[in-house]
Order: sequence, then structure tokens, then C-alpha cells
Amino acid sequence: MLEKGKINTGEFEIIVIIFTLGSSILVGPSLLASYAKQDAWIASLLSLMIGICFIFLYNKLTSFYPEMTFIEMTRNILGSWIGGLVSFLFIIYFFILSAGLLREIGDFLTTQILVETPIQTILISFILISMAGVKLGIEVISRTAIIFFPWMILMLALLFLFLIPEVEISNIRPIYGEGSKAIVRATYSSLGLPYLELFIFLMITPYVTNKQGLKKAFYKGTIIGGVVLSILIIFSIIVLGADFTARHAYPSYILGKKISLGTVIERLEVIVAIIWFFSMYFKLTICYYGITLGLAQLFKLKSYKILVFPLAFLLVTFSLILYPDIVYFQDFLAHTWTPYSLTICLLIPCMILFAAKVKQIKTNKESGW
Amino acid sequence: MWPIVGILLIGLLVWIIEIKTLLKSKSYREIIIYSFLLISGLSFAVLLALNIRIPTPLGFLNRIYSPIISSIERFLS
Repeated sequence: MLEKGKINTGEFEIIVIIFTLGSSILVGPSLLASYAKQDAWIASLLSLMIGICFIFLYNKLTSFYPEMTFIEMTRNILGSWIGGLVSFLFIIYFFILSAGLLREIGDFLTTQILVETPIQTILISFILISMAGVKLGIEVISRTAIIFFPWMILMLALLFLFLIPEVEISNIRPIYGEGSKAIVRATYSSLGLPYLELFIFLMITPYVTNKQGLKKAFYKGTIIGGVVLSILIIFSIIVLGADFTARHAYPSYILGKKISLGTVIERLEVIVAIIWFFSMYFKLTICYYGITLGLAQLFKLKSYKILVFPLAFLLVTFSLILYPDIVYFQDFLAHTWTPYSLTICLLIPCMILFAAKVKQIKTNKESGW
Repeated sequence: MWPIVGILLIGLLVWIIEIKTLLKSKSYREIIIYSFLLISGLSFAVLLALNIRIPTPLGFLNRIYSPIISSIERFLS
């Protein structure tokens, strides 16, 4: 066992919620609204429903081999060569995701808050904290999540509460005005972020103590995260209007700027930024942890901690190499990300589930059933 | 110039610190993978510091998926 930490179902549920909120809290509204306009919230709820089907698939996979991570599972089912290839594809996908998350932080900070700071400084300082988390292991990451979770909830509640005076219900009308095709298009492009990315939790499920409660916690975490995301999208549409939401890169950040109660409480955009930093930190750390542990298990190393530093180096450089500029990044996210996620996070688990079923039937026959 | 020296210095320092414990426990597999990852990371970092434009690997992904993307988008628009 490379990882000796143990987490309970409550902690698991909280990290699933934070992971689901992750980067979508800032990028999601604009992506959805650009396709479905004022119906973006319908698309968001629809993609949550489809997302639950993915969780069903992942839960099925964990119930076959509850004591194994995804990497060990593939090796066990498909053998070391094909299994190794599948594991490699898995690791590459999450490497691209982690580099993208890091780049999102850098882009957000350099365009909105720290305009004069070079992006490398931000990337390096963020990866340093993330490195500390990964070195300490999953137990410490999830305990930290428990400390920050109430604050995130409090700040989200404050944000929604302060925005109530700014609401204009007419912005959401006409409901279903864009037709079903626009809604399906928006749903399709929001599948990849965040619901398919929850695949990384197959690296963490073996360390959850209560296997019965695990499935329920996985469903519950995803649903809570998805509903909060949908509420946020509804708020950005009814406060800012569909057009503005679609046009701006970070509409929920602008939501914070809209707050004004009397003349006492004004411009609380930093609330949104803080929520986002917390959720982003945990999303990045979990992905980073997953690829580190995955690489160590793929090459059968004795400890995964040794890979943390070289991977940090690679992540920082590749977040600059993979996405030459912010336009390329947004374009990649809007077009290539969803089909790519569908192949890695839907096709591969389906195939492995099929192979596991076949293997189960075969061993049952051999043992005389 | 200075960024390259800094990158190489940090890389070398961490390499020396981490490789010592690995050599003591005679885990050669770890040493090979660790050194390979670190050297590739360092070389990419140096290329970035020299302002050499490296073609993004995502272009490859875009090319693979472009027939699927165009057919899906035609279907949904």
C-alpha cells in the first residue's frame, strides 16, 4: 500500500462537493450561457442528471474491486501491457487537466487582480502550496477541506443573500425561448466540466473506510455540488442578464461587483475570488495527488512522495506550453475538451466494466458454477 | 541568463537532496524515473526561459478529434 491514510465518508462527500464546484464556479456560467442564453440553468440541471449516470458507472467499477485504485484495477483486469497503456492515457488526461487548472488560476489573477505580476510567479507560488498538500497525503488534504468547507458555504450564502436586491426576474424570460437544440448543445459542452472529471476519485475510493456509505456519499456530493452550481448560474443570469453572462470570461466574479447594500457594503467580488481559490486549490491538489499516486503505482515504486517535485516542475512548464494563450485555452475548453473527456472518462470505464464482467463469469465457470 | 541559472540550481539542489536518501535505500527504479521526470521538466523550463516556442501537444489532440467535433457540432447546431 503506497498510501496509508484513511478517510471517512463524510470527508469524502465534502471533497466531492468542493471538486464539483472547482473551476466551474467561475468558468461554467459563461460557457453555458454562450450556447443556451437565458436557458443555461436548464442545461446545467440536465447535465447534473447525466452526471449522476456517470457516478453510477464509477460506483459500479469501485464495487468490483473496492480495495484497488483505478491503476491497480486496470492492471488486474487487462494485464500489465494493455492495462499500462490505459493507465497511461488516464494519467495523461489528468495531467492536462491539472496543467489547465493551474493555468486558469494564473490567467484569472493576471487579468483581474494582480495585473502587473508575471504569470510564472503565481503558478509557482500556487503549486508550492499544492505540493505541500500532496506530500502530506490524502488524509491531510481531506481534513483541510473540512476546515475550509464551512467558510466556503458561509461565503456562498452571503453572496446569494446580498444579491437578492439586484435580482431582475425578467432577465430569465422567455423560459425555453432558445429551443431544445441550444439547450442540448450547452448540456453537451458542460458534461466535461465538472462531472466527467470526477473519474479521478477512483484513485481515492480505496482509502475510504466505509465502503457501503461510499456510494451514497459520492451521489450526494455530486448532487449538492451540481445544485449549488445551478443556483449560481441562475443568479448570474437574473442579475447580469444572459448576454452579459455569455460575453464576460468570469461572470460570477462580476456578480460580486454588483453587490451594494445601502452605501455600506459595496463590491464584495473578493468573496467570489476566495471561494474560488479554496475550491480550485482542492481540485488541483486532488488531481495532482491522483497523477502522482497513479504514476507511482504504474511503475511499482515504493513511495509516491518522490515524484511530487519533478511533477510540479512539469506541471508549471506544461501549463505554459500546452496553452499558448488564453484564447487557445478557451477554444480548447469549448470544443475539444468534451469529446476528449468522453473517450477517457466514459468509454474506458465502460470497456473496463465489460471486461471485469466477462472475467467474473469466466472465473465462476471455472470454479464449477 | 539568470532565470536559467536559477532553474538549474534549484533542480540540482533538490536532485542532490532527494537522491541521497534514494541511494541509501538502493531503490534504483525510483532513481531512474525520478531523474527522467526531473530532467525533462528542467529542459522544458530552460526552453521556456530561452523564449523558444514549443508547439503545443494539444494541437495533436485537436487534429485527432476534429472529425468528431465537426460532426457533433453540425448535428447540434
